[in-house]
Amino acid sequence: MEFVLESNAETKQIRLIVVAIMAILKRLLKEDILYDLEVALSEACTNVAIHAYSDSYEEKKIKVKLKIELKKVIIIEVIDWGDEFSLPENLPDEYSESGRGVYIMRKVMDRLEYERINNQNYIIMHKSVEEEEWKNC
Amino acid sequence: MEKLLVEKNNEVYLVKIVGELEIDSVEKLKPKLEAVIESDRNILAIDLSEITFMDSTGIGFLVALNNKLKRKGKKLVLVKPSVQVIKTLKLINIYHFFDQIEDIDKIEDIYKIVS
Repeated sequence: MEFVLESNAETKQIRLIVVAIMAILKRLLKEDILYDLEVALSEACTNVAIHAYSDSYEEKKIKVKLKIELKKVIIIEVIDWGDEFSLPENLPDEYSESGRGVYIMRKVMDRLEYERINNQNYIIMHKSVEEEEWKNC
Repeated sequence: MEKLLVEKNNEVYLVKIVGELEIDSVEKLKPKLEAVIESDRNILAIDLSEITFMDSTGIGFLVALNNKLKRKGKKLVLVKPSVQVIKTLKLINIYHFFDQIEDIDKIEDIYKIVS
């Protein structure tokens, strides 16, 4: 199964994208694993809204692809058309007011990849889901 | 969606945030809390018992509040953080960074407030 959502990368839309994707996942997965997926997706989308586009961009878009292999894996791709970047490796100190999103994504997902393809940034996240964590669907 | 409830006594400004703490709600909450930071109360207690989702934007918001209050010689106290708040704080090992209490009625004993 594959779902694609595309929108402006404004803060209001960002939350609505996360809520929409989670509504699909809630039909398929049990409660325990949903938190990890929601927090990772929220971090990836928030990074697009805050960091991807400098003021020089007229259009600020975000696209989220949700790929589901039933009883196996959830793959979430978050795509933007902004500037190229690199993923930070470390967690900032306790007094820092930002910079924790990528660390959280790495922690809750099984795999996190960044790719630059055709002037687009791809954040690709994988989460393996054990058979008992799926609802009967 | 977020909701802000405010209560004051001589020393404590109690704010209850209901809903989510992520980019959309934090942007709306920031200006509302500026007045609280500038108030003459020494303690800002934030009730997080009804937060249903928080990500790193929410953590950044709490850290920023804590930094601002500390610079003014004031204190931030988290009241009854919800399971979701605790989960996110523990993800990045920042859970013990914040002062926390379970019962707002005991805040005056714990912080030895003389009113």
